[in-house]
Amino acid sequence: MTVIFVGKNNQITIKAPKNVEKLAKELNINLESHVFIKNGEIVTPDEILQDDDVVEIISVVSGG
Amino acid sequence: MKCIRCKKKAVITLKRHNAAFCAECFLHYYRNQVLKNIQKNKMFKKDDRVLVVVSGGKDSMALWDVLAKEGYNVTAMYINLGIGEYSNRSQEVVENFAKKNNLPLIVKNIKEEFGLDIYKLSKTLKRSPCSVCGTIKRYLFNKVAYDNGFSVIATGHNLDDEAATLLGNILNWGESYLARQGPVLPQTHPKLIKKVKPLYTLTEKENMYYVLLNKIEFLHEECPYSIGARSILYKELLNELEEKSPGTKQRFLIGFLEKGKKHFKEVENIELKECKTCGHVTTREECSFCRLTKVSNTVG
Repeated sequence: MTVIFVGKNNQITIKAPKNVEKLAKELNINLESHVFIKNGEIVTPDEILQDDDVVEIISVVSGG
Repeated sequence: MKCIRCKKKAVITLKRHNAAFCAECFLHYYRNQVLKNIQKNKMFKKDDRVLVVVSGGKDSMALWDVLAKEGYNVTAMYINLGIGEYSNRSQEVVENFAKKNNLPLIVKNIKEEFGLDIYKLSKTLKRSPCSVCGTIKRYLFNKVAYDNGFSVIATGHNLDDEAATLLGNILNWGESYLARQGPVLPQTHPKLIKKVKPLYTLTEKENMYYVLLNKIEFLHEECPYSIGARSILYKELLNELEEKSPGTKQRFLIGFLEKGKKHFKEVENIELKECKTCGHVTTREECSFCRLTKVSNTVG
């Protein structure tokens, strides 16, 4: 699958299938502070991701 | 995973509520939370004139949208802080939303109207840009609200903001800050307008879901001056705890408001005066904003 880190100008390819929770663990990403979007739709941590999916990961933390 | 309300496929899970929602039911939950917060804390009513402070980020855009949709009498206020392209892009986002939804918007520009430059001021005064920015914003929100007859100022502070602020205030034992922290900052002087935080029980993630599901344009990029801010570190630490123990952030904040806050009192009785230059409320002879303006005029 293609994984895009929104706002970070970064894109990688990750082997599928696996669910969102496993992907987050593999990438060391906190599920509480990120939103996962599969092919344009928001998905839950149990959603299975396949090789032809495009997954966007958005950080929700803002500060200042 | 199924929506706990309608049993359709869920798209959002909220572990701290042990809940999962489809898009439609999440928006129902979100609106209910906002309305409950407004009513429970007596923030404002339908006939109040509410000044909503917007930055173009997800939280304030979500607040503006939900209050306007719920029929509150809202006017938004945006301050262009002169932070290069970041400020220009955020102003564009806010203006587009106001135009598209036919909503009133007040725009202020601190460089053009007051000659203020946050970067120069922070270097000259050896203060962090966030501290200078906060002083300017708080002054202008209150001035615009007072001068234009608004009864309340609403900001997009969320559960993560409030929990991070609380953690910071506890780590530093800021007694007077702890005594004041809450979803409502009441009017303590005729020229100090009441401030409220209707999103204080909603997380940043929930605000992000709200803007994404409603296809609301927002500025995702962060203010360049906020990189390395301590508030972000506190939020990350709290999210680590939240992931392993869902509900931590809400228990921390709500527990403080219900059980902890009463033990903190304002350290001293602060006398409120009117600024000798602009007439607005201050604890000194001249308010911080007028002093910043003078420093700015001196350094050029």
